[in-house]
Amino acid sequence: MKNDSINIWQTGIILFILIFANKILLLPSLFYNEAKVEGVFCYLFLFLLELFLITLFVFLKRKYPNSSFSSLIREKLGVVTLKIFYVLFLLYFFCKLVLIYNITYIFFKDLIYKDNDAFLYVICIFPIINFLAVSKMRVFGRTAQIFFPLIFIILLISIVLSFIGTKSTPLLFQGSFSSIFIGSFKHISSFGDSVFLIIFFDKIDYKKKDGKKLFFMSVFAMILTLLIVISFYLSYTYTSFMHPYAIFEVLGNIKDYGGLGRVDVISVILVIFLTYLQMGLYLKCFTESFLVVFPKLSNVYALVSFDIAFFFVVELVIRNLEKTVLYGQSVLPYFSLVSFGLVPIFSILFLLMKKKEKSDGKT
Amino acid sequence: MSSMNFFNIENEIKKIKKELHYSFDVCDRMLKKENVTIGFVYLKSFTDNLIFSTAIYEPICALKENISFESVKSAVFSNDVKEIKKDEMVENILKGAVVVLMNNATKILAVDIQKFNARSPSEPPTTPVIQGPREGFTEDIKTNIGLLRKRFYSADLVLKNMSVGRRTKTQVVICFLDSVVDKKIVREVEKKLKKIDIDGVVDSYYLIPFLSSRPNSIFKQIGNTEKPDIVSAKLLEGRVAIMVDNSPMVLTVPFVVLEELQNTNDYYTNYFYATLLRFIRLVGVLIAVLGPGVYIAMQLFHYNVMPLKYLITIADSTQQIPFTPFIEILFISLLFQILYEVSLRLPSYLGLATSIVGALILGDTGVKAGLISPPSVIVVAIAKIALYTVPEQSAQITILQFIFLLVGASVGLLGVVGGLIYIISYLNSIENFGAPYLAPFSPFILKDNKDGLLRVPITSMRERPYSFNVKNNRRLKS
Amino acid sequence: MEKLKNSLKLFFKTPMLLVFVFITIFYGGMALGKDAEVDTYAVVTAIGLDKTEDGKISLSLLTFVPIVTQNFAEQYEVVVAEGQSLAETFDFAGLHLGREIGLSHAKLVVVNDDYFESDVSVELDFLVRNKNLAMSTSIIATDAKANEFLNVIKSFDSGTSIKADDLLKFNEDYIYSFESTFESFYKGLYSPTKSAMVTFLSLVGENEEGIAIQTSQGEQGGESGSQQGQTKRKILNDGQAILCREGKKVAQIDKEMMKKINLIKGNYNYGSIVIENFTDELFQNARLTFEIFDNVTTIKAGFSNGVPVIYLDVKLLVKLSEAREYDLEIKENVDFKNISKKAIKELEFKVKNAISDGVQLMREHKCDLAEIYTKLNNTNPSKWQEFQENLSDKDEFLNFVVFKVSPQIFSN
Repeated sequence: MKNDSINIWQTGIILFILIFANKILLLPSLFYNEAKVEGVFCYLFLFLLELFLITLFVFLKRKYPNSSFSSLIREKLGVVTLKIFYVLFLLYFFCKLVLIYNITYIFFKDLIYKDNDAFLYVICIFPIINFLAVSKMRVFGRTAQIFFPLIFIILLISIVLSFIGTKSTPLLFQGSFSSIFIGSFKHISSFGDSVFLIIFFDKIDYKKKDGKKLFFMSVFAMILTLLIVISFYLSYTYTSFMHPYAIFEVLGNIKDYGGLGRVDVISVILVIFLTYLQMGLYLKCFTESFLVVFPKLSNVYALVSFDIAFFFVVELVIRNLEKTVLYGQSVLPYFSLVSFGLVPIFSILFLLMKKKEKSDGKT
Repeated sequence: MSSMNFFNIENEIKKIKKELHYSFDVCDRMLKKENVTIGFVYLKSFTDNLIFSTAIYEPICALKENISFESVKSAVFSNDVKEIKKDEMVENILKGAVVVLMNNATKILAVDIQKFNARSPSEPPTTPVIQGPREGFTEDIKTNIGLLRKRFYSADLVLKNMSVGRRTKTQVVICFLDSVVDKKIVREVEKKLKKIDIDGVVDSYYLIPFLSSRPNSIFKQIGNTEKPDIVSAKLLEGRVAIMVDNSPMVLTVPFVVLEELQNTNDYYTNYFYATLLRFIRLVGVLIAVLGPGVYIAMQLFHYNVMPLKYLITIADSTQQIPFTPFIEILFISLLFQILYEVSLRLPSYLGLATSIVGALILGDTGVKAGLISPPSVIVVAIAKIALYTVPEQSAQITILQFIFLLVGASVGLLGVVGGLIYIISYLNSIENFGAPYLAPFSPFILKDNKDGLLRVPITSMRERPYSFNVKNNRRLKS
Repeated sequence: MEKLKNSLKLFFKTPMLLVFVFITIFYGGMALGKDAEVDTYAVVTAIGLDKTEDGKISLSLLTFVPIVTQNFAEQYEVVVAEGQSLAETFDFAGLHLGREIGLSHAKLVVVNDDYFESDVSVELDFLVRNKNLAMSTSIIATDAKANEFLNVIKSFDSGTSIKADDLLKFNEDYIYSFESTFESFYKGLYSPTKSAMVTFLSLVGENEEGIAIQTSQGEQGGESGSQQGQTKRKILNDGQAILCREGKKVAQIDKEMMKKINLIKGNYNYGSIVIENFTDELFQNARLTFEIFDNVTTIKAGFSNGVPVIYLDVKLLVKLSEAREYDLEIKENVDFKNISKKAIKELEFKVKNAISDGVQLMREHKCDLAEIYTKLNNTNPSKWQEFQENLSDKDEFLNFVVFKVSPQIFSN
């Protein structure tokens, strides 16, 4: 176990990638539909929740540096709770993977694979994410680390370029508080990515002041995401709802940059990288949860069952934008209660329990 | 009892000859002096007449009284005189020693006067330098050890001798700096070498699969060099070198992929320029690996993301081509690979002819005849040239190039990026002798990046690599 | 069980090889026979929309035709298709070309002026949503047939180096202060005031005057559908634009009007102001031309007694570049640097007049071209809401907004 751990920078980088990954495609436009330009506040609100989760993780890690989350639940709440909890996790990650798969499928279909069948996408995505899922966490962390500079540079270029295209003043004060909250809830499933910290609780090397690094990386990612969202709203204002793929559109807004023509290609490459890494990690989370639910089976069973189930679900869920959005809004928010509801409750519980034990020991 | 212990020299020589299957180059001489019979057995092919007579025969003849084993032993001139056991005789003869038997002694003497005409150290063709030492290792391990010893006038350099190969009994020497190296690595090397049960080791390359953690991988996991200055630099970093007799290639472990981006010339020029060169090498590798794949993916799947001007150029120039783009680019790649193979095999005076035929006639006429399009030729040519920015890895890069070409043509950009992620995570899973293959990039080791893609001045490289375990990390005492 | 487990493990240890072999055999085999996408798609660089007399839609596509050359000349063809709906016309156009139609490289959509008077936004919407036309594609309105216009562009594209979109870019940068793209059109359409501007370029005959770009048409006779080509036509760019409200053309505005609107927006960076019959201590009965170097207009919104007020703080940096006195032939030694206070007053007066003209235009056509609505809303949303509720027609809010202009003229 010990040699399959990732250090805090790698954790930060994975967190960075996750915080970005599925928030720069459809979300800005969807939030505009809900809360107009004030959709930025939806981001802020949900990011605060995300930071809350990370804070919980840091505190938990300080108290229980060596045990895993599943063993904590087993010890303190029993095996039944553990199984139920991790079955919920399984479903949560499965649903999230379906969502991400659909969003990215539509994105690629629209932009670079007009003529090709869905199976081509399957044959590209499935092997790679399965491979990432079977490989060790350490390998995944290192892979994320090596692609991080590339992802980061593309993001920076996108942000810098996207602000060139902004010209109009947005119409403020159109979204109300309620619309911000409703919007946030509808798309809460796109957030809560820091749950992976809980899943890989024991595989993260945590030293004394590592919490700061983790916060730095996540806040940094959040700021960059917000910058992209803001530049998106600034360049499109009233037509934001017409532009589903934010990161692509903010670059597409620039006409003929330096004779190169299409600068938006780099955003496509960015999304490809993010898709693989993100789906790979979620599948890893899925496998990890599977192994907790069925401790006697190997991860091969997890992947095979996932692949079969996923293939059928993906074939059944009709691949168009509207249905995907509907799916994301109707089914997923309730599953997100796992990440934003159960995980914090359990974490707080554990934090309190430990204290009790300590005081018991003293007296 | 006592007569039993003395040798019957004629019998012994017969036994040896029988054991050596009466090979024609086994030579035996007898010398009788004052009731003492002295027999010499050696291989003609290893022993020079003149040296034999001046170093062994004449001094023994000059002995006057009381010819004993001790007096003979002190009379012969050689750096390497040793007493051996009876069952070691054949082995020593095969290694080039003259075995001396005496009928009044119980001991046997082996005198090594082997003279083998080794190539003198010259600049190796694989790693030419612009400025810097031009010496290269030869096929003779003694010369090689000498070349290395010359660079360390200190007791710190430890050489451990082993022999590998059931039939060849090839001499293998493990070299390391005692106060620097992590002994675990040395032990692991020894363990791995001892485990080898192969009939023969022809060249150091034979050992590579046994030392690698993933022997079937296409990726090189053991460093190799022909230059003593590189080996000494690696030893100073805390690595272990493995010398094999009859091979000018010296292996070094642990190996990280970064070493291929580095070049000896980097350390013998301005650090800033060296950094620039390293970036260029990285870009070269990326172009070589991904260039044709991305190009074909763009042509077959993603015309809509190509800028209009490039699209027009490509569309205009590919109009006339009778092949589909994939066949065309495969054809050009194969053509280049064939030309490369031919130019490598042919003697140099014919090489010029092939390059004329290849470059001028095939390339230019192919384009003019409308069989291949200029953009494809350019893309393949750039990729194939870029391959040689890292010549040591050209085999691996060529394989990757073809893989990415296939993937790009089959499933487009998504496949190319997926393949890239796969390759990188595969490489990340390789660890040799405790060194992650892609260190110091992943895991990112800040201190090692001083000599990573960057090359800071020597004065700033204060520490040895952290990518693998080293006993002592301090390098420069300020 | 153990065997199955092991074999599964083996499969997952080397599945990449299997996947690779599968891809190679299946998709690689397909790729061997696959043509380049350029050969299966018709690369469209400009689209023209007309309405025929019997109410059909006529679609013209300027497509790039690859030709075998060593000097990589670009050759284009114009394809025309007619149909009841745009989707139908696209089908027909594809049929005519024998290729699928790829709009990803289209840079220009030319719409006939008359078409703009009916609601064109539905058709444009189709292009964007169903055909993935980039939102940064430019829209041009023209008084001639869009088809003819494309034919003129065609001769640009394959002949001279001046491209149609270069002309447009110049217009966008200097003449107008807006972009004439799908994006701006829709932004206008979906904004609360539903107004947008679109570039207007006209086609004139060979001998007519105007700032035109000479084209050499005629060598390439119209082939696939283009019937024009006998008479030489020129594109005339005189800085006109059409004003759209709710996606329909409501007015056509000329260069002078454009300048006035630009002054409100603070984008009047190109051009000059002329004062006729000017007399002061330096000049007598002169015509003074002031070149404009910079224009910054800050628009501040406020409410006084519930009435929205827009404060326009117009700063102009001008230079007297020409002075002509009608009484004298040439006035020598004029110190151009010193402009009298009277001249500045005169200029300020001119600016005020220009702005009031601009505002008048906006009021007349209920078109908010200077983001007045947004400014008022962002300053005080509640008061603005209150004010709007009191209006009988919310679109006529401009009539009740008070404009306070304070021009400041600086000369270097």
